[in-house]
Amino acid sequence: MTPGARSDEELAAAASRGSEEAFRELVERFERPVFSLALRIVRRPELAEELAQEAFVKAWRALGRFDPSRKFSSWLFKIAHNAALDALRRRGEPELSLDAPVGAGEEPRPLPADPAAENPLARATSRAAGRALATALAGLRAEYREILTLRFGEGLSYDEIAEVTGAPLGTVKVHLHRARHELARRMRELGWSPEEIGR
Amino acid sequence: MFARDPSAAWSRFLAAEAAGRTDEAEAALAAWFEVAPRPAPGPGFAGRVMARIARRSLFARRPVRLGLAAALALAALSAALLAPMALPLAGLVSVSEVIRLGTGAFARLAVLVASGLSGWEMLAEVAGAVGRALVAPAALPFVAAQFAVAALALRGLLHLASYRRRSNHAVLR
Repeated sequence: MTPGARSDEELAAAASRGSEEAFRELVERFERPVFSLALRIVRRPELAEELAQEAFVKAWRALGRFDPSRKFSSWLFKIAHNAALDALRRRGEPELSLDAPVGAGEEPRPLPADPAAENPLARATSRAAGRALATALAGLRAEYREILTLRFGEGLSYDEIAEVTGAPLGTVKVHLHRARHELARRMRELGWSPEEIGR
Repeated sequence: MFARDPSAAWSRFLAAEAAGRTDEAEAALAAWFEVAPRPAPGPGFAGRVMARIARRSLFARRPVRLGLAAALALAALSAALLAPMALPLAGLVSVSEVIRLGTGAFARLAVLVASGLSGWEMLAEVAGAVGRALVAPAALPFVAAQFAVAALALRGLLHLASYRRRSNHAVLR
């Protein structure tokens, strides 16, 4: 956050008083994290975007019930999490089996290279890393994908993840531990082993 | 350190994970996520969200809801009051007349084409009766109120349309 910029909670308070400008700033701050979380759960970009929009609209309507002493991001992620799970239930998606492998038509879409990478080699490496991450994550169970995204993509604490997912703290820790192992295994299969990297 | 080097971050993660250094493994994995490109929604996402909110907000506003409720109540009251004034119209078009018009449509058409004005006379009578009912002193306040509500509703719609145009413009900037 740049100096002088309002915090998420301050913006949420302003938005709850009817400031659409404040809410728009929140949308711009959180559009990537919310979309990313939804995408990790449902794995379809179009549906993920629809769900991300729905999450923001629900958040706008529920702002009056937001407690500014809580972290806005956790509150928003919980709304997005619930919206994604509701959508899966409504559609009777096989995603609910959670162990479904990635099908032929479900390959993760190519991700752009990191524009902040300094040189073409770094950009290419970044792109390869992003592709490998997307592929490895897509092969994990849904709760592992979500928990890894929340923890490492968004930097949430264990407690915040428990709040977002509604899972007990112990379950969060166990899932995270297993998810790390599973991610490492899948990444090694994709060539991201120490031996391959050292070449 | 390895902030922009995914290979280094990944190697560090694997080493820490193998050695059971959870905190270090988590830090390295976080760095690796940071390096990897993050999925993003399509361009103009915020504009689309705000347009949806504006559509919902228009009808969620208390004055708009009160206006809609008032318009409905006024319409019901006007209908109740205008109905007796419209009763004279019933005598102009009887059921048998309607049936006669329906069954003899072709003949009627021919007559209308031939004589022209005869059909218009009946329409003129109907329009005249409606006009007299609407300009009756008892109905005038209700008609005026209906116009006012319609004008407000039109203003609201124009405001909504202009907001959507502003949103689209913001997206394209």
